[in-house]
Amino acid sequence: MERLWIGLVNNSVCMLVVLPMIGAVLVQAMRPFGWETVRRTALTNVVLSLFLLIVMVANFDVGNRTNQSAMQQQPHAQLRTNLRWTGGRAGSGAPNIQFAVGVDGISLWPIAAIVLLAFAAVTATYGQDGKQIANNYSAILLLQAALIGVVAALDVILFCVFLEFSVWPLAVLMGRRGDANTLTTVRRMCVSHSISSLLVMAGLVLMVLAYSWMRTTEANPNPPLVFSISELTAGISAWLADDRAAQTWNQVRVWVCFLVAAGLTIRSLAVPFHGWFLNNQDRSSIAVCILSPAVALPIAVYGIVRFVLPMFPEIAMPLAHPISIMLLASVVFLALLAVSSRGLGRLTNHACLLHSALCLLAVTSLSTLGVTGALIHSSSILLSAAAVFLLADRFPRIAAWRHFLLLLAVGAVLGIPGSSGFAGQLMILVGIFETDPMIALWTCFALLLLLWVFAVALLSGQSTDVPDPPADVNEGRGASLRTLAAVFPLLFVIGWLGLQPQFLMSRMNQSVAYVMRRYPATSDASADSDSQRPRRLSQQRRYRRGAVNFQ
Amino acid sequence: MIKVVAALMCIVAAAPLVAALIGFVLETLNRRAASYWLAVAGSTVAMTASVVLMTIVSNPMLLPQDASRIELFQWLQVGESARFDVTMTLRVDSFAALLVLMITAIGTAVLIHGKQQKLSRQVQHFPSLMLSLFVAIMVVLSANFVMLYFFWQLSTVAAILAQNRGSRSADDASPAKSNLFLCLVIADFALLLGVCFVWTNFGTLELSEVLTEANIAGVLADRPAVVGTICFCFFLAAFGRTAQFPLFVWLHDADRSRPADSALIQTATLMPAGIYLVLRSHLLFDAAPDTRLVMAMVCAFSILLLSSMAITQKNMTRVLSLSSAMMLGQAFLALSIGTFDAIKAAIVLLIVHSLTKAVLFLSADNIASDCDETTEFERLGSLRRRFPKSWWAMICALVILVSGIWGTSRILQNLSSDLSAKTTAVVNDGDEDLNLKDPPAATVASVAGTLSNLILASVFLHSLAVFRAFFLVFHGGNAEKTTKPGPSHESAGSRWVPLFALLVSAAAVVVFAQTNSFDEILLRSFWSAESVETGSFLRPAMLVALCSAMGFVIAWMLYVKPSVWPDRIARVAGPFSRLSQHGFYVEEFYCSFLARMIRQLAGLCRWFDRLLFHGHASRACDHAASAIARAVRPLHTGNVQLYVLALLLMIALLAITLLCNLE
Repeated sequence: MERLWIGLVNNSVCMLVVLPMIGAVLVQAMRPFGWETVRRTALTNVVLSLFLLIVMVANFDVGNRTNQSAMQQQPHAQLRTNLRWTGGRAGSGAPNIQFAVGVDGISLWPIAAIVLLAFAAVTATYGQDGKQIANNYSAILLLQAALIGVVAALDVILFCVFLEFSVWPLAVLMGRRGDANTLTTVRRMCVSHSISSLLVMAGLVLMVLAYSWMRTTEANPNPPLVFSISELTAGISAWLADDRAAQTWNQVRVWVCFLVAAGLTIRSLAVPFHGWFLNNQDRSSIAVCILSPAVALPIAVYGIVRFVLPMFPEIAMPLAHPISIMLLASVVFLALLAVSSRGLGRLTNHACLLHSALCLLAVTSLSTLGVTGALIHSSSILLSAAAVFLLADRFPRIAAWRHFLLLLAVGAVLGIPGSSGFAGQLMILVGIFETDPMIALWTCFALLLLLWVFAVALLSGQSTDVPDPPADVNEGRGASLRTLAAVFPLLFVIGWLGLQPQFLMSRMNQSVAYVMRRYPATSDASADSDSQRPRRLSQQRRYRRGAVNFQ
Repeated sequence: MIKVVAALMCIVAAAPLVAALIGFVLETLNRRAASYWLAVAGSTVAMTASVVLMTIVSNPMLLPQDASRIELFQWLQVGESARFDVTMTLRVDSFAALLVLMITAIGTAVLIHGKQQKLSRQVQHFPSLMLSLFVAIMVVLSANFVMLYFFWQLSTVAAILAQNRGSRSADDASPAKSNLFLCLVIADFALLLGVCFVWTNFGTLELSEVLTEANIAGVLADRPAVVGTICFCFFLAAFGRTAQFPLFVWLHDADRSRPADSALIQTATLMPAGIYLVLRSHLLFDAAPDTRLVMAMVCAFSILLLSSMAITQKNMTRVLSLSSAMMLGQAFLALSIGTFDAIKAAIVLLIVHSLTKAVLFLSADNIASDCDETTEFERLGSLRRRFPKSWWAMICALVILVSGIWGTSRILQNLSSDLSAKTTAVVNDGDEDLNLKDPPAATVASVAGTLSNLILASVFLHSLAVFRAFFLVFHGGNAEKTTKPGPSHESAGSRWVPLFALLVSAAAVVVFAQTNSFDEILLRSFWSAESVETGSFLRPAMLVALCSAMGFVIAWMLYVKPSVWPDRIARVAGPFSRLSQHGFYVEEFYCSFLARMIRQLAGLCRWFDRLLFHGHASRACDHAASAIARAVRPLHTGNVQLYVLALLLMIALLAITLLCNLE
């Protein structure tokens, strides 16, 4: 029994990826046994996923490395599972691609958020009936598997496979209604995400090839291709000490960086790639409202932090400032768009878009605080938005407890103290401020506009335009309990992380520190005295504006 | 003893929180009476604990150190090297203990006063009040800037909840309803920017580490403009909270809510937080004379503007709100002087104003409860016989408030001393030397005299405004009476005992403030403040008393009985009267100019978005995708192997291209 438990714990991440896939198949298999069986199968699956998530988080080793040398070491992925996919045997000649999944500080929170969102989506649609229900649940579960796979993948090819795979279940969910406008939106989403996935895949394959070329020597003319993300991250940095390898890397790095960053930016819903999202949200079911931002926000931020920041500091440093200006324009533009929109549901969509751009802006600040805040906020905003979508229907006529919970959820979207949004926004704003106070000032202005618009909407009791409520508004006590069951885990996590974000921070710090080790804002932080700090920050600002060449 | 202080701090903070949380549950279960009594119990426990806390902390024999602190838990630590480290820590010194006592006392009085209305109030009203109380206490007990910002912003939320739930009218669709929210959020962001500046320049967020002379001098030497910028941010944040110009428009929402709700917001939770921020960071302000000068000038303008608005308002709650903002503006003016006497005057002004203004608001609530929930002068009048206790409470509170012997005259006295000190400096040192040592000194010297005159003018206008309101409600007025039949609400003990308890407290504070013991208590927190020799107290006190008396007499002559003179004067004043009555159209300016400009800009963005991103760009992408699809249609055979082959060929092509480039 103990061995079974240890096996379960050690493979919990793998099971979090595989279990929903099995669930999706089971849901289809249960169709002959009636809709209730189908619903119970899906619900059991998400509950088991929730249980596995708790097991994973409870067994995540916090670690306690505080000295400078330890910070330079890469934190290993925990609870990892390695399954041979192709090659791997000595002399086989096939590329060593593995089904390797695990969790580290960067991927922990996105995995948790995705599991919670899938749970909320299944629970909220539990009361629905009809022929499409099995397909819906299968799509939700497959989407859950794909998204967890993206952030848990330790292999480049596996990452790309899951990235591409995540598009199609969402397309099925979105296209359920099948009218012309929906299909147009679905087509745009598929095109946008497919291009994004292809660009990322091209960039990562090129990186794998480049790493192989870097290691080519006379003694070893054909080094094996390496697909492990951690090995690539550490290996490329280490091989830069070799002149020839550095020269090789310098020739391809711009292309790799461009392809990966462009792909992830398209994915992130940043302006001008946001069109399909707003169209989709106007016409979709509650499950799509909850899950569609998850395909974009956390994945894009995770990808940039995982690949772009640790591998391309030489490119990121000089480009960060112009990109941050563009992102700032995007944030202000989205805030103004929010001002001209009506209804709580649509406002929440705009808030999602704005916070997506805000997270990217925080990443471009290249400060530990900004990056950490972006990682937290990109996932926590999804939980808050999902809670609003679940509670927002029939806003003026809902029960008192629901109204109260709705206020909490909207507050979390806006980042009131005590919600996870507050901690995320605080870190993002301080992180941005560290590197450019003017950008922080304008960001505050954009957030102020968003707050104002929400205040007007709430105080004037604007009805929401969430199109397909959880179908339980008039279904009595059972329906209310279902909504409560769907919302409670979300609000609990939002409140818990708002009051005790250190729980997450202690698990993220090492991984983020490793990612940021090659950036001057953090690399010598521990050696800095307080009096040196302003000077160092101004030096970093000059780096970002291109006044000083990065060595 | 440190453990006792720590335990007391926890009790003071936890009692309202527990009452609020359980109250929310009870109200959800429709147990409103239980929720009310729980709130009263929580508030009373907090007040009792704060009395003991004040006794211990203010006594050097019991607690030798100036401040005591207790770490609750680590909230946030970002980075391996623990740079951004926020620990939830409570910190109390004699000044904080004094403010906590004031907050809990007013909170308890407001709650006891609300006994009769516990069943008629809206859902979650009392828990919201308790939440406001908890947040206000935590703002004062915060030991670092992030915690301060955390609870500062939470107090915004609590105030909006309390104000919204306490709203009497169903006019929720009014855009003006969001004024409170907007002004407070601007203040919040200003504080956040100030905190960011503190962190990036001081490298720490602990109040006790930032607010030291050595650290401030270090930053001042390295970056002279930074301290001024931080102070400007704090000053803007505090101005938003205390409804000073240009962020005073949220006061216009006050007449839409019950006077009792305004009492808590304006005297215990929201407004004192602004003064507290500036008081707590007075060392920073000391190092930023330019910002202090700007603060003094804006305050003087604000005071004059608010008091001139107050004399023409038609609603008692609004007059009292404007009076609150004006009094706190005087406190800011005192803080801009920066000497120990001025700081003391500001603190006494804050406390006495809070206690007396709570009495005024609660008395107004007594009247409103019996008069169809209105405080409009048109619908009130000749109520002295019906509300004798409220009449006595209000007249006593007004006399204490406008006499100014404890605050305003001290400010005038310090301003005069400052003026003479600066003038002496100009004469003795010459302009060049002065500019090197203290650049704005010459300017201060020229401005101080004007400020004194402005204060005296505003004292007169303030006295006229509040006594006008008093006489219109209790004596004059011939409009339709709206009082309900039967005994008045104030006959219940819960409606008048808190008023007189607060009045006694205010009088006690006025007396206690004249003793050395009070100075010793404050010196434990403000030991570094500069003490300067001030001139005679008699002249400024007489000037203030004269101006106040003039205001009283004119109000008595015009409003104690129905008269045609007010209308005649209004006709003579003409445009000024209309401007004053409409708040100088500042709110209209915001709504019609700023808000409209933003909305038009938003409309332009929407049009641009539809035209470009949803229109042409999307269609172009669609056309491109269709064209590509048509182009590759011949390859679309359905043979998966062919697709895989095509993909592999593309990858091979890419690899070959790169290999060629490498050479």
